[in-house]
Amino acid sequence: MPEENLDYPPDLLRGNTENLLLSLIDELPQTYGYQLIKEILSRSRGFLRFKEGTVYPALRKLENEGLIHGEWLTLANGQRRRAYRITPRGREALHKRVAMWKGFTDAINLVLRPARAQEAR
Amino acid sequence: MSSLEVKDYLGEIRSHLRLDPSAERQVIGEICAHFRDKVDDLKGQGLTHADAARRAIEAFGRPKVVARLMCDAFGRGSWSDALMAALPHALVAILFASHLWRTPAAGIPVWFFIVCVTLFGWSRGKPRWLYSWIGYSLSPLLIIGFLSYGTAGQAVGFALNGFRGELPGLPGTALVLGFYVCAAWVVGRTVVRVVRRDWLLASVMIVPLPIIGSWLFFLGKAGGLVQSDLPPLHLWDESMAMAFLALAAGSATFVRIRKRLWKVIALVLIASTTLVALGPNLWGAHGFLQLSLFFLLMVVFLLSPALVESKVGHGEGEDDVWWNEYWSDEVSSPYPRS
Repeated sequence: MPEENLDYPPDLLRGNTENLLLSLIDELPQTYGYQLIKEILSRSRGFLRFKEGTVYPALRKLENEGLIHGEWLTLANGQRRRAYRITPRGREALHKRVAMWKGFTDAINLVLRPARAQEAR
Repeated sequence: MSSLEVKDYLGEIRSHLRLDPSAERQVIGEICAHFRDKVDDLKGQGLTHADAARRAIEAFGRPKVVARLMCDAFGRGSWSDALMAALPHALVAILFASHLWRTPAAGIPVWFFIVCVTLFGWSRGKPRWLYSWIGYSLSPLLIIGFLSYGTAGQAVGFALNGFRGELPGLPGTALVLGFYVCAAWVVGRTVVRVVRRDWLLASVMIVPLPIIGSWLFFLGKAGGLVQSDLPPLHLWDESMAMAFLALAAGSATFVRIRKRLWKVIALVLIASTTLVALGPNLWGAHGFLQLSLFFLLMVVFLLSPALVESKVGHGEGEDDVWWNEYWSDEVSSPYPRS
């Protein structure tokens, strides 16, 4: 859940949390919840802010749908973490979702472009 | 803020989770690992341990919301879970549809099979399909209770009459009363244990009992279980089979629904509608008011485990503070040491 005082409606981010997670898990091998949160914050230059507790249910949902696979790893210092990797089904779903997102944003941009041009004038 | 409050925070999340114990351990373990990493990061930025813990908690969100989202994420069972949840209802429906319930050689093995599956599921982490099986495992207690209520009634009448009059045979009375006490203990303990996990699962467990109870009531009026070869009972078998088929469909739907609120609505609607549809067949034609009363009684019965939960609490079993082991000030390991 994004924090309240942001410049975008919370639903905008909420609806895309799973896509962001899926994409990062595809890119980062054996990643884990906290790393994913930091990565999203860092790549979006602090713009995309989650209530961090909402990331873990999203991960579980992706796992239950068979899109990612989670397993407990024991680190050298004895700490244990739940690490995730994408499944073939998850990769397929990611390609579809990215294509859908690109189509959607292209369409939105096409509609918004005249308004931007008007603003510039 | 000290790590004691992180423990409290974990406990607060745990108190709102409605998952099986192994899943709850995994969830809390993962959240705990998150807190370790976050607190270590914030301490690296110069914050004190207490401030870092406070910031980590704030950033994580309200525990109730996190727990609800987690329950939703886990809420939907697989199709095989749904099939398993529907199976005991379907088996009982077949017993009624084929009139085989009257043949002990068919009824007893089916019940024995149900008990075996129940014990298997209970010992294997209580999967989500288990709860409809438990209800049928307990149903013989209801049937034996029904068969012996005459003796029990006489004994109670004797006691209420100031121990005057005729008491049925003492050994028989003692046996029946002992059975009632044991049955009440078994049912009560089972209900409490299930309610501590999730009262909604206890509702799933007890849902067949009012239907079986109504049927027994009718049998009593028709001459009793042992005289059940009366012709009109064949009509009843069909209605009962349909009722249990409806419960089978309802249980499968319940397992497949993700949102908790919809689970409650589905369970109450399906079970109450089943009883109301069965009611006129069992007790004769009834008016709208009486049918509404049956419906309300069923709703109250199905929601009663929620009341039990408010008394006994959630997850407060033998290992009620197990998450403490996941978090400690003194050690840096964030998760149960292997």
